[in-house]
Amino acid sequence: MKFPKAGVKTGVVFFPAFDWAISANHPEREERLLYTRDQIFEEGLFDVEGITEYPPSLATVEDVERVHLCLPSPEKVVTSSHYISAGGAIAVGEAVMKGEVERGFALVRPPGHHATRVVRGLRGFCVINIEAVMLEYLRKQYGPLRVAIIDTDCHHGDGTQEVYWNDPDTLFISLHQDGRTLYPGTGFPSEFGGPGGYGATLNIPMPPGTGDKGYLYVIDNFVLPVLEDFKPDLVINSAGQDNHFSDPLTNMSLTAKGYAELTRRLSPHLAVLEGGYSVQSALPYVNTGILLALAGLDTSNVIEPLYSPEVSVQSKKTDEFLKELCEMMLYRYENRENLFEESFGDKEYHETTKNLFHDEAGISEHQREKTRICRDCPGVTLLATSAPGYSEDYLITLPLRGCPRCRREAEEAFANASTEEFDTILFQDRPNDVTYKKGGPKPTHTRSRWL
Amino acid sequence: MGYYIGIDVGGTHTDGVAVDVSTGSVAAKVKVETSLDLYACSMEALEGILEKVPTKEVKRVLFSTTLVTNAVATGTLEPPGLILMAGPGMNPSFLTDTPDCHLISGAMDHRGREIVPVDKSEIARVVDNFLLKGIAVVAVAGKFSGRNPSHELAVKEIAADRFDYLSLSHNLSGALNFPRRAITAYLSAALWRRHSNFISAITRAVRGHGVEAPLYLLQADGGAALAESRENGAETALSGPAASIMGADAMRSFEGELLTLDIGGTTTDIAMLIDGVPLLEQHGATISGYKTQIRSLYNRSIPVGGDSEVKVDDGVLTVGPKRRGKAAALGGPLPTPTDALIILGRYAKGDADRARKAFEPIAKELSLTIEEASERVLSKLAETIARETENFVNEVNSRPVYTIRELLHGHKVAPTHALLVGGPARLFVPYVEEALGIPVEVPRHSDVANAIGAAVSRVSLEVNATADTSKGDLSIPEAGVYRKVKSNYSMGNLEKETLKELETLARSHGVTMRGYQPEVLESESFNIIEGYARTGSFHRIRAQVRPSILCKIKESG
Repeated sequence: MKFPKAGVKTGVVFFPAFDWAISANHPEREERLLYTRDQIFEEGLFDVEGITEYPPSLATVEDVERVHLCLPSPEKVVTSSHYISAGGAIAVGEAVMKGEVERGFALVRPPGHHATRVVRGLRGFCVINIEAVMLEYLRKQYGPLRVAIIDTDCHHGDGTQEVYWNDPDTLFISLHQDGRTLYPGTGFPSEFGGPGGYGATLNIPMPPGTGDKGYLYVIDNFVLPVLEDFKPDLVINSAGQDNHFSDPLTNMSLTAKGYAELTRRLSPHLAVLEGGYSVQSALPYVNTGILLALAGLDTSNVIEPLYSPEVSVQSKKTDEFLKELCEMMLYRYENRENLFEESFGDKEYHETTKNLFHDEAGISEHQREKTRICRDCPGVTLLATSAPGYSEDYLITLPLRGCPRCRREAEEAFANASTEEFDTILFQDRPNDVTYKKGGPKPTHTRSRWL
Repeated sequence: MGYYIGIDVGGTHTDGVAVDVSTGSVAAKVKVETSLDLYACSMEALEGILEKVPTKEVKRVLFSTTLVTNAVATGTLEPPGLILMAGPGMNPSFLTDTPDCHLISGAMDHRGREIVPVDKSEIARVVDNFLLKGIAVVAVAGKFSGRNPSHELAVKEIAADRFDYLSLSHNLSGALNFPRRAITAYLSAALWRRHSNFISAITRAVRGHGVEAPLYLLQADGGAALAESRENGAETALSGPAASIMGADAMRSFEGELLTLDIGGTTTDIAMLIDGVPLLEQHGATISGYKTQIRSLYNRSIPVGGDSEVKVDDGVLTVGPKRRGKAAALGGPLPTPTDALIILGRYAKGDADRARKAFEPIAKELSLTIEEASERVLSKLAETIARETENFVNEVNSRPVYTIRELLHGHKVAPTHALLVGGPARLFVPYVEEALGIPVEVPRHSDVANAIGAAVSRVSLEVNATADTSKGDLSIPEAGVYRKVKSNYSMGNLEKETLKELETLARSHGVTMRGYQPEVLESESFNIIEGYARTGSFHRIRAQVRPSILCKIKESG
């Protein structure tokens, strides 16, 4: 009658933020992890030898600004709950980097994978990107890291994709319900990365109704082969739990056991909770399954009460679709250098424009972005953003491996950027781990009701 | 008027005290050697006390014994039959590795909704099997049985009166943690006969001496339990450290946050009192590797004390973790910190020459005089205690919290004083004071702190109440309350009802209402939302009568 011993030492930050909600009946509300708490406490999971509970640390403004331009200011958009949730991810990340544990699970909320570089308020329940804030903190503390982020949330991880769009050292793979049928409507195979990180962004849009079989097929036949080739130092799983067959916001058919098996095969160093809103029928079991799988323990008894063999059956058409998709994406990945030449050739700069909507903040913004196509580094990025009625701002990012030429360009851009033209100008000098800021919020701006 | 008698059976000594209720002074004090027969030495100490105080004046007698702790440690348990209903989750095989365990059908979910019903014929078969094997005590545990005990009660219906003792896990604790609850139920059944026999024996003996006062046993949380209730004997495990902390509370002159250090021969126990409130273990006591759900004072035992082995390896001095015997001066085989005290003339006992001789090789290896080496050893001992104390405080401060408010504004403890108890405590004061960097106090009766703690500890209780207004269920397992509630049942209603039930429970446990102070430890309230509509509320309260003392010892050090 002694608790079992974990095969793999695992650290957990459990921070359910029982006193925080977006609004009373919002899916992202106080009791989202209540039933999960009840289940994992009743299971006695924190008594298992080799599973260690860590308290979250608090992320700082510096940690956030390494990744984000917060508008009108970090104080106005980022709340304590976000600093704690990112801090929770940081705490497990540190435990793994220090070798105290082999794997970590940040069972925290609020989530973060829809948060893009420019933060103007809530977007897809997210404000800051907790994985990115953690990862850039770890890179500052522990030096250069080659990292793979595997986003298995049902929604496309558009925020994380955007943050790492131009980073060749961060492989981003998202498995999600087809964007034509679900928020945020992106995540197609053609989204393949910016010039500095071309082929390091990989999207697997899956048909509604995909079950355990389909997810595991994509892990085995696409994700694992790519990881084998990419050879990351660290694998992070954005572990959304809304692919569950009982989730009210999505249409997929994954089971708790499927989650556990997916986790076992992926064997991430770090799992970070993202979405998942079937708070009673799925989360208690899925979280138990993920934690047991991370810790190398038996998951065969993790069966949710609503389970029956039929719930996870997917159509033959889905089988075939996923097979073709994986083959096509592997081909694209393997031929990314040729594809790069076709797409960017000998251009000096890559320029794009896009519109972004911060849904719950109710703010539309227009972005113009220019990235230097550089042979020596991923290239400096200049981003001008304008949200009519709010502000016009400018973000200059010199990547961690920024070369002297790109540095010169970044510094000139910052010197030349005028506070007449922009409200806030932020220069992220990543090699020196400092940010420089000019201008700031104008007091007359009205903010969204959520902030 | 009257006396509180406390008897503490320790590893080497059994102490007894009588505390004069009207003056708060120690009226009698007895120390005898602990023998293998715990009953005999308890009685010897009690008789020693009764020689000094009139039996008619005795108001209560409380025993703190190692009976249960020893039984668990040596594995002398009566093998119980175990019936488990595990439901989905972790593989329960780690709980079913006892000889007579049956995993039967029946499962509840986190809200106490039935997932799988029990099979009555299966229960009957298991019961028959136990009876056939001559099993006389049985433990039953189901996952989420605190939320809905109907499956455990179904077992009771079939098994009741057919065994000497039936331990149902939901009666033991309403807190979540199925494996700990199952292990606690198992130990409770396995210890029942021994515990019950001990109670019968001491009751007979005490009454034989003409003492009519109520008898209590000390529990791991520093609270007293009426002996006649004969409930969960496992709760009397680890009462020694609890007695020491309660004794420190009775004798302290410092207010605020203070450390209590019980320095013994083999180990030093570290604990904390915050304004007289001892810290509790978060999940429950660990007894010889069994993780239980027994409420227990938070205490860290480290393997250094007066009799620790002193040695030098490659020029590095270590004190502990092993104990090889008594101090060299007292005929032991190796040098110890006690020898260092004797060499320095701080402790007039034993043969100082033998101590010096034992210290010669230590001094030589450290290139010091024997006196310098002795000083070094005592500093080393104190530094080890100080380092572990720092870890202990850090551990307290990194306990998990689950709300933003607690995380940002939660209190961090920082002890400002230390209280030393235990036989040799006084001798170590200057060293410990220097290593800890805070003032240290040694109360006058520190040598019998445990017996004093036993004499004055009050009854303590905990209840865990849950109301789910969407299902319409209220449960307070420790009070045996399970009933239906209306949809408008509020947090205020639950708090009122919980405190009322706690009071009823307290009365039945012999709590005097004078100075009765129930308190709410935790409370939480959530909306239950199903689909997109609020269907009810989930309220939860953890309330207690906290471990505390009946009176302070008024004599100063």
